[in-house]
Amino acid sequence: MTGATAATAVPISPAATLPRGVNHSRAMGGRLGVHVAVARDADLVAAERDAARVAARVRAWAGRLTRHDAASDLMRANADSRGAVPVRPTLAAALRWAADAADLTGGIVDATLLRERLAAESTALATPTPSPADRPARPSDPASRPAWDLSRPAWRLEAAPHGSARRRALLLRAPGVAFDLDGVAKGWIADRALALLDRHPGALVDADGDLAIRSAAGDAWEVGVADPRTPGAELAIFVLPGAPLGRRYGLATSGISVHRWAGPDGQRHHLIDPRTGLPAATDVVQATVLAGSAHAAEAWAKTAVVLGLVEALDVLDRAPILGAILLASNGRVLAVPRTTRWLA
Amino acid sequence: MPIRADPTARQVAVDAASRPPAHTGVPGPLAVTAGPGPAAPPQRSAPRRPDPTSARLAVAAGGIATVSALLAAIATAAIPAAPVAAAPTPGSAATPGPVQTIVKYVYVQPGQAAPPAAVAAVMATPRPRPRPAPVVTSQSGAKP
Repeated sequence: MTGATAATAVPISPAATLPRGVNHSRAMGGRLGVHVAVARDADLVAAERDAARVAARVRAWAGRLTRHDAASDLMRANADSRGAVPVRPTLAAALRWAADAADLTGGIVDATLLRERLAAESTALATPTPSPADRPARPSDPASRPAWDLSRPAWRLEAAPHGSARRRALLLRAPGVAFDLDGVAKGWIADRALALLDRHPGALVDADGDLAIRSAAGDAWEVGVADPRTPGAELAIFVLPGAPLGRRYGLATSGISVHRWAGPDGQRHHLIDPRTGLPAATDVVQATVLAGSAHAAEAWAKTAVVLGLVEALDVLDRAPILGAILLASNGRVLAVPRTTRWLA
Repeated sequence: MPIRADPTARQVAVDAASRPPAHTGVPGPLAVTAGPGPAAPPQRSAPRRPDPTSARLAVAAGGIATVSALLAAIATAAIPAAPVAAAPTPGSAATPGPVQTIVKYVYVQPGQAAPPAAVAAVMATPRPRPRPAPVVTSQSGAKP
């Protein structure tokens, strides 16, 4: 993966007041952008250098956590048949967040659904994918859905025995538990990368659409919400201002309109409902959540899609988030009311 | 019993010499002073006046109650009652009474704020801009 760095002294959005240095590259199967806001043009060279360094770190972390490489830390742990597997610090930290995300979302975000996801993907057919509106609507009555399977095998992390490598951990799990961090790792990586840019007044890390943001006082980041129905169109535009000591945000989007395919029994997509073990039957095509961190935003966005519109609005209304925008399968764009204060 | 038929006041002449010398004021026509008479009768003790404390306490309590009632009435009028969702019951449609509407879904334009009771705001799509936002959040794998 190669990176292309572009530095500019001109504010790149009407809301921005500070010049930005930007590094664009590819990682995690998509785009990676590291943006750095600096106080003066003379700092752009250092910003450019730091952005490239952080992008390299992101690619290294992603390489350890990907399920698409049998040599990654994640897949080696998945392939290990032992009940207790030592794991390296990055994977251990990501798994700890996965456990927290499950607790935060009532188990809707579940990092142990690799087998269910692979099973769903194995039914993919090489046929054109109809639009989400062609699918039958999901029943909105929660009582009509199957009960959540609470017998899912458990796992936990423990500190590695004394004398082992520093910050290593021991992964304890029941036989058959395999991990897929696609739903939790990008936001977590974005937050981790943002922390490496603390010496600059502001920064933004775009981990393939999941963003970790820090806004400087007097500055703001302007972020569009992509409309999946029309390339280049936006559902809304966030303007995220800074504060005297800087202010952190996380913006993440999840949905079923990109990774989707036709299966023998209907439409399939990649977001598995842990209550059924199947692709979620949802009437939310896309959910975007604004929170205080990218990892929390990612978890809540995925939860909103899996739950469906009625339950999602109820849950998001009580969730510790700053806002949320949902695109329903009927084309309607709904927002949690407190979202509007952040919109352009 | 004599009945006085003339209700008009009558002037009474007062002898100037009978005034006490220390009196320096100008007496009016009806000023009457008692002259030095024989020995004063034994002083009668003044009738005991009732203790005013209890009366004052009662008046204060009444004032406090009145002010409290007024403040409560003002506060009740200033704060609208919170909407309460009544559970629908069979036949409730025929029951006369006030109908309370709970706003859950509202349309908002850019710059507008939804009311606090709303669960969701139905948003209008922003107008296309000549230049899109420099950073976009999207589903993973989506082309920018």
